[in-house]
Amino acid sequence: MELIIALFFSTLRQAAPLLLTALGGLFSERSGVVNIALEGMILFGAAAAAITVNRIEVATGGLEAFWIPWVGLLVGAIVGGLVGLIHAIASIKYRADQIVSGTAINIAALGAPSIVLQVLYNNTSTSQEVNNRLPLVNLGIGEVSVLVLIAFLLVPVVWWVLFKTPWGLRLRAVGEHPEAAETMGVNVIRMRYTAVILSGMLAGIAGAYLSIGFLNQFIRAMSAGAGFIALAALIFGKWHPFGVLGATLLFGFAQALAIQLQGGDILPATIVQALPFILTMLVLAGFIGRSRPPAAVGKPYDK
Amino acid sequence: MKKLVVLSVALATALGLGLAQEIRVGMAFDAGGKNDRSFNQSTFEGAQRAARELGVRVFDFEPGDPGQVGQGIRRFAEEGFDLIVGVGFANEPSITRNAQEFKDVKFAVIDSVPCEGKCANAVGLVFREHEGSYLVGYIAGRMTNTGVVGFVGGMDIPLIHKFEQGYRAGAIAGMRERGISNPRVLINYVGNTPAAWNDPGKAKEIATAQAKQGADIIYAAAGASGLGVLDYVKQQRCLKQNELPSGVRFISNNGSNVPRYAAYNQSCPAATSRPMFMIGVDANQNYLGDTDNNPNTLNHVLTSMLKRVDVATYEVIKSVKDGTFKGGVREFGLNNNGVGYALDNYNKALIPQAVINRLAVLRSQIVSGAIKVPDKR
Repeated sequence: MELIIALFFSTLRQAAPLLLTALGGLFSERSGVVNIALEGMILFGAAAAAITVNRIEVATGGLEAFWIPWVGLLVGAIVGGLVGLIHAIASIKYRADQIVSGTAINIAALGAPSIVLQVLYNNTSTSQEVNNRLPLVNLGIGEVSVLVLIAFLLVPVVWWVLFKTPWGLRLRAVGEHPEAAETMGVNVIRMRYTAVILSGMLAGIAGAYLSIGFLNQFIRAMSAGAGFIALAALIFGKWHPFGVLGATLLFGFAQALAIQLQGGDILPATIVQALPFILTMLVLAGFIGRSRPPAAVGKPYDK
Repeated sequence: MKKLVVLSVALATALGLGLAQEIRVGMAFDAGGKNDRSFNQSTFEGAQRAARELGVRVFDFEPGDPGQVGQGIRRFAEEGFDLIVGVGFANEPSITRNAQEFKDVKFAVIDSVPCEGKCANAVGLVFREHEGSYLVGYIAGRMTNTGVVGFVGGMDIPLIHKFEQGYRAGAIAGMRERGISNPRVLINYVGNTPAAWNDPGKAKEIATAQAKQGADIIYAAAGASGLGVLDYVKQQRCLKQNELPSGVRFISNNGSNVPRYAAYNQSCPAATSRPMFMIGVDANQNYLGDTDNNPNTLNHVLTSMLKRVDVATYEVIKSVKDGTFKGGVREFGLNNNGVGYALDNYNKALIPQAVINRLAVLRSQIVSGAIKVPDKR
């Protein structure tokens, strides 16, 4: 029983940042813009959130107050959104190859935070530890960060927005057949900008979860591939919110299980470490079937 | 125009001469970055000490991501530096290649041996980490209150197996001395790619899982990922009796003599909980366990396995300055204080004198060969 509860919470904690990021990626890709920059957006958001909270703490002489981490979260989301804007300008306005633009952002995310850290802390690798973290919520049998809760609550919200609102219908139309959407009076360009910025903001929030929610500082490259796993989960979940939920939970569970099994002698360590990936491949091959992307994804829109 | 050319040639010569008198050292860091508060930072401090005391000039290269490791070395070599130090085994292939090409530049690698030890201009600085890890493992074994201790390695490679095996042997020895019949050492790795050095989130999950199995002391040999373990023990502060898994119970109350900080008492009742600790690695990380800027109250880093990469770095720079540089391999172990454990204001109240005395005995037994510490699985 203890083991099951431990596995359950570990799964939630590991799925949450993937889920936030993948839901963001869902908007971007549903609008027709490939977002391989999710990894970089997480890092920018994580750095911005941790640095903001630390600066507030320094300025107020180590104040501990409920609003401080929320300001950090907001700044993380804004910075993520700004990075999204850069990706949007490159790939929508200038019609750059979306993969190239995204890759450039990912590379920048490994270096740019270090420059800021160097200026502020004379240290290129880590920010200072923060005392004001995002609060934990008690679920009766254990505690999780409030952002974990928000991540899971976002799933039905995103579903509703995407499939039950006019805005969602337009977004999907823009990603499937932008010319048709345009003739119906939808502003394709504006829809795509909004979607990519939204995607950056959600990835920034996932970053804030890492740096001021789950952990207490920014550490260089701390996302450790979460953005790419989220991207995989997006494909795996067939660009659908509930599919994404299932995929991120599966990844989270596989990672949690691998950690639990690693100490024991049940399976060889190498197999245990490969488990999340083996599991993914099995599920992909066996149960999911064909995953069809939005028809216009990756194609710059020409009026 | 001609004058200008002459002038610049003269200037260049003068500058060149000026620089030639000064020894230039290039430091190529590993993926962790020079401020990882651990391995890389320790070498950086050794180089800074050399800059201060020996008057050499130190330049550094930090890879932005693991894929860039080793890239700065060639640039240093082309500029004709006197010594280039590759920090970490990942720099070895690049050092070996460049050492064979640039014969009049001297090279050193920490944690690996370049050119299989055959280059006259390249030296490998290697450590017997298992010896130091044995000592901190022994401390863990003597201090644990549950009979379960943990190890979190970074990347799953033979180098880190040395830390693991030494620690495991030491911890078991310590627990057996106390009459614990079933000593347990939980062993986990963050991953098997270089990303494992920078994944504090996963390291924290591992620490969580180990604590749920009853581990109260966790040794992190995982680069910047270790900060995730640190965060866990400082956030959790203690193991609670009602959260122990079946088969694990509190067998002692070690460390109860150390005054607690205020927040600790609020969340961890003395009778039904025991403090959690991390053991640091490479650099002295004891100070990182402090929560209230007061070394005298309980700190959550029990000790640190010191790997004196700073000393090794300083020594190799000094050997270039003195003209005594030799290619091949230099080993650092307990015998030449290349490894050890950290004892300072932050943990002196935690570790009893009896344990310190035993550590001195164990140290001499390891140096004499009476105790053979395993270095591989």
